[in-house]
Amino acid sequence: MVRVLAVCGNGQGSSMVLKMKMGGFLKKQKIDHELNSCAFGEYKSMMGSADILVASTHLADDIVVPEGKHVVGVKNLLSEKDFGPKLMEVIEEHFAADIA
Amino acid sequence: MEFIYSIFEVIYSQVLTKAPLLLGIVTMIGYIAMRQKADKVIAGTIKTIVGFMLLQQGAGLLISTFRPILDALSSTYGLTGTIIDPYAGMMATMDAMGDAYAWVGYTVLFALALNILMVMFKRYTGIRTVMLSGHIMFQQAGIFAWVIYATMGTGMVETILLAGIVTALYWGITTNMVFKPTEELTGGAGFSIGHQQMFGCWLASKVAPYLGNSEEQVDDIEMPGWLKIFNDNVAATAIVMLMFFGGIMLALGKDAVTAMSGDTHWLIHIFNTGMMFAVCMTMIVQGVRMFVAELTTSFQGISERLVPGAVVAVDCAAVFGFAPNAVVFGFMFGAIGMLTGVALLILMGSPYLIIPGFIPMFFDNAVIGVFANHFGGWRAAWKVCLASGLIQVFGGAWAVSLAGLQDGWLGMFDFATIVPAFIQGMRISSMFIIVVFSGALVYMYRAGKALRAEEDAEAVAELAAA
Repeated sequence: MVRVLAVCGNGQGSSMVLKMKMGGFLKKQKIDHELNSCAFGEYKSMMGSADILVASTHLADDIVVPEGKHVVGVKNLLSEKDFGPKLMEVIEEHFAADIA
Repeated sequence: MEFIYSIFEVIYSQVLTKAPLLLGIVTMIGYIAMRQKADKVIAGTIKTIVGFMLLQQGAGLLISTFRPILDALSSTYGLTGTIIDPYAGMMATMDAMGDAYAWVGYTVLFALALNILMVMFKRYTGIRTVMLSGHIMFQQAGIFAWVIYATMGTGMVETILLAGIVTALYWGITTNMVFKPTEELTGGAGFSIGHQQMFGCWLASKVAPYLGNSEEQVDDIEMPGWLKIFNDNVAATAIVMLMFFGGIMLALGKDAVTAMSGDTHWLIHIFNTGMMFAVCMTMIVQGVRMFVAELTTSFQGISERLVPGAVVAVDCAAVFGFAPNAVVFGFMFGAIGMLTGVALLILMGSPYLIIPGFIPMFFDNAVIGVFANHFGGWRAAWKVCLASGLIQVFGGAWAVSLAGLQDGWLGMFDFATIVPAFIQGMRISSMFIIVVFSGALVYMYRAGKALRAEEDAEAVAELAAA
């Protein structure tokens, strides 16, 4: 299972929307997944239970993750065309086993 | 018969008028309608209730921590100190309305239903956007319900109906106004802003071209790296509140603070108080997230089923990725504007002292900065954000003088401009609501006409292409 964490400034609005949009996308791609969202200030405590962290480009550069975890920066949080290919690239490379 | 009646009585007075249980039921119905499995329905319902109770605890803690300081400020200097921050505003509304706060839950649902109806009839209303930022919808509906309740003295049903209509008009019209500028900004991303400064963003997109040159973008300017600390909401809230409450407590003096601090050294107590604000905020935000995460999912499900083609209006941070530098730039000048505003209030001897929260300081000015930058470059962005910071403070003071919520006010741009204007009108005469409705009808008539023309032209173009 791929565990994806959506991160935004306050962890209330855009990360929630991003989470819902990614949920729809990953379901369509038939990828076994689990989704969560949080604020930028919390990502360090939340990333223990996540494999991929997705955030708006203005935050993504400042997210530091240990080896084995991945960060995806997105410009348009609501567009599959934007986050889809970036997310799939990471999943295909590192989590191929979860693609049904 | 008596027995059945008493069951209804208990359900009504103990469940349907208590916000946490009411919202738990809403989530449950939503999830059942979406045919979720039983375990999800149960977990979602419980998390909604727990989330709301957590929010109430955080709000209570916020009041018990900060009211003594604000009271001391009032008795020592004769100043009414009010925190302008969406969550502080929500806390003040909950406190002021007491048990009637459950009305806000109904207001949100009714307003969302109306907003969806407006989009269903978009050829007549011109409105194609649905507000879907759950955390904000409660804050705003709470303010509108309070204003109606406080100015008109209405009962439950009238308050919910009138506040629901006003809230729905605010959501529908402002998210629709900012849709076109957002499309231009994002290069046709297909969403709109549904936050607390739609009017502000729209205004910024209109005035920015006159104040600068859109070819000189903020992105060409190097920003100081230390400002990144403000990306962390907990650190940022603690810093900003330590600054303001530290200032207030120092002004109250050692003796007054020692009286509040007990065994703790007074300077350490000041530091702790700043940190305490971040503690309350974290509790409130966590609580709101728990119940909104469940509600937003069902709101989106309902809206997608009823109006599949609707444009969703979402949190303003959705556009931050399109101009990351303008976010920091806008925040910086907005903060300068707000600090200047507070200093001016004190120098002018205003009886109201505004204590800016971090959320209006950051999110409002950041998104207004993004819009101003897109339409007028950095030269427009700094002027617009400086002005918006000043407006937040003075508009906030205007709102506080009218609203009758002493501890907190929502404080975001629209709630420092069009909302106090609305309250001012309502304070003069409750007939002002008719002026508001007429204005809304005129807007919808014109927007509907424009939308029909646009859609018909598209249809003709499609026919021609076929």
